Amino acid sequence: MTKRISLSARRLGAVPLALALGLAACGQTDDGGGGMGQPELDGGDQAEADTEAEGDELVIGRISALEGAFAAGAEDGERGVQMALEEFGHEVAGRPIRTIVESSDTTPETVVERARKLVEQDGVDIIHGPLSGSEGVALADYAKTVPHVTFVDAASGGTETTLRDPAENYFRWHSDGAMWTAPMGPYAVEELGYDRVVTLAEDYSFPHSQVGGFLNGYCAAGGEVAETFWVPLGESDYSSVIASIPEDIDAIYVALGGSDAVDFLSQAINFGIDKPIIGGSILVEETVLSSEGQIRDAALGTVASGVVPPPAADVAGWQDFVSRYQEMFPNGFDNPSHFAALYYNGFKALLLALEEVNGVVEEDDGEALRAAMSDLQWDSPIGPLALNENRQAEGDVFIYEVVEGDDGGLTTELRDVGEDIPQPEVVWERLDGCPAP
Amino acid sequence: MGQVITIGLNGLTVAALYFLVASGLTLIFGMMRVVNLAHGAFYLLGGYVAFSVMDSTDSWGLGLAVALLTVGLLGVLMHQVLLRAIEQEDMRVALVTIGVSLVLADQMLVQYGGVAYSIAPPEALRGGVDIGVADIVYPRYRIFVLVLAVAVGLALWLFMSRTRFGMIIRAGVDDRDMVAATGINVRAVFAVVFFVGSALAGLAGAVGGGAFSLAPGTDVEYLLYSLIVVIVGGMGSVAGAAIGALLVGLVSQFALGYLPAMASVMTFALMIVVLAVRPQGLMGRPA
Repeated sequence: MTKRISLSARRLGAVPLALALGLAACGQTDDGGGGMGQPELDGGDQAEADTEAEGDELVIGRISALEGAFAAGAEDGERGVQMALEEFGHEVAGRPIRTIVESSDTTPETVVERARKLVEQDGVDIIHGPLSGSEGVALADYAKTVPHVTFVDAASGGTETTLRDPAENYFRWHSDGAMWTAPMGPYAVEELGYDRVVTLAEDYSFPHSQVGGFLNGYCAAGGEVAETFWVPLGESDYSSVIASIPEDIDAIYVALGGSDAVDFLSQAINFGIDKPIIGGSILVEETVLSSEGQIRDAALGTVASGVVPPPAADVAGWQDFVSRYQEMFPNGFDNPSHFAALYYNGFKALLLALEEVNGVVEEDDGEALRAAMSDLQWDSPIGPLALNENRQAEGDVFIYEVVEGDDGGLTTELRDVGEDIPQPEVVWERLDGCPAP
Repeated sequence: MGQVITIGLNGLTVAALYFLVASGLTLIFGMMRVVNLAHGAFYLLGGYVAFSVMDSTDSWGLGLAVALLTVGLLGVLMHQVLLRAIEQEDMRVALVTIGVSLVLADQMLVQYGGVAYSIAPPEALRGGVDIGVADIVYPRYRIFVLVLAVAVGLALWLFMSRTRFGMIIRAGVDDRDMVAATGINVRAVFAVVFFVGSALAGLAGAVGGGAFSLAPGTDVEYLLYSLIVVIVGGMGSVAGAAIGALLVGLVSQFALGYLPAMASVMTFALMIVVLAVRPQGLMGRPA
């Protein structure tokens, strides 16, 4: 319920700009439009706000990018959280769990505003989220101002979040975007024989990490970069970028995701891309492969790397997770997406730590919880997980190729595994070529 | 050289799509003096309806026709049921159309979910055409969008300048009350204008869904683009919508080709420059 209601309220956020434009156009300057963005219109959340955590109920705030380019991924992430909650019977140490879901739109401003609302109005002590890279960077920054609140990342992959002066109360149970692409660099040179590439990615922290992680290994292995293209997140038109791609390259490295990936892949063939495509962690993952887009020809044969293994991969616990997902969500995707797996891992780790401290959160400002989380080690569906001194997980990365499945649909097949990829030592900013050694 | 031509063509074809969306918006504004802020939602709805119809009947043409009619009728319905009683109050009308767009957006999210959809063009429009200059092979579908937009533009121009009905609309743009005073049924005229304007958004969605994906958020994106187009071109002017679309399309595509990170800034910069130099828009008349 909460999800739907707050979604319509959130959407209002995009409207004031449109309204302002509309009013400017009408030549009207009266103040009627000024109140549009005010919280009074947030009617949907009021009922929730009145019921502060009381009695035994444990309230967990959640922020997910249910709008924008990653809406499909966020929706699947919710399924991952459902799976974790179901496992615990929606309670931990005798305390029933209630979640308040806030929708963000992949922008850092919105995510901080939502977090503020959860902390200041709803009084939550735990926040699970967000989905996207720059959101994570902003949220980790905000975390420093509310040290009594415990943050568990959902799926954001910016390197900076847990590397540059990491917040004491921010935990990330999945490796970051640069780690996911690290093994792909050497693989592209040594196994695929691509000596010269261009890169294409969105211009924000997660793709910065992805391209940085890739180029770091790729250039070290002797690869050359002809050019790097950066587009805004949410760009739907790649025709002119494709026209600018030089001829003398072996492959195109694409680190787009969500609907951007669908648009790129469906335009790639039409606009005459005849080079192989290799990609980042969310270019050809389940939400993109399941889209109703014309991406088949471009996607087939694409090699990419990521932290979530292909559906049929022989990873301990993964097959159980896949079949449990399929059982629980007949209307979900054919296989759990990248986002379902990461949301599940983060939320399950949180529940495990809560169990460890017997559900004690409010009494000691979450100190025991954070200590338990730092020491926690557990076997997730994608391999054993533990946190390093930056409260950041490290783990295996899988290289896979898009192939035709038995039912004629698109799926992925494992090609190689990069084992125990460590957290990078530098934050990758926007690169214009090989990183300086 | 080839790159410049390709990007130029991209600009033209994107402009064609922007024109299809924005012409409907500007048409309604011209008559009603109000911006239909549900226009973006109408675009997305047109795309989804076309997708569903094509999915179940395998007929692309039918999908286009159903999308056009459905959204056109929805526009009339919105006008007759929600806007009629308050149509003199611009601010209320604007707020009601925002309400409609929110309701539509959530309903579409429930129905179609968050995944991206795109519409498969018919076999005859797939693949590329050699345009005969600099060895450029250009997607046939994009050229079709351009031709369609030119045809729609011409039809609108003939409709507005050569028919009695067009004359009434133009008169209504200048002075709504005087037109009513001469005994013309302005309400019926409003209904027709709303039908045509909304149907254009539906058609644009069905056609645009073949070139770009349809997903939650597409509605707001196209509402913004069409607002920029009509503000640049001048509110209420169909010719202005064409010029505005052309400018926005070319600026955004050349920015994407040469300064990709600045692309979205450039379109807004264009609007700001036009507003600073000519606040009523390039083809608009001073209020």
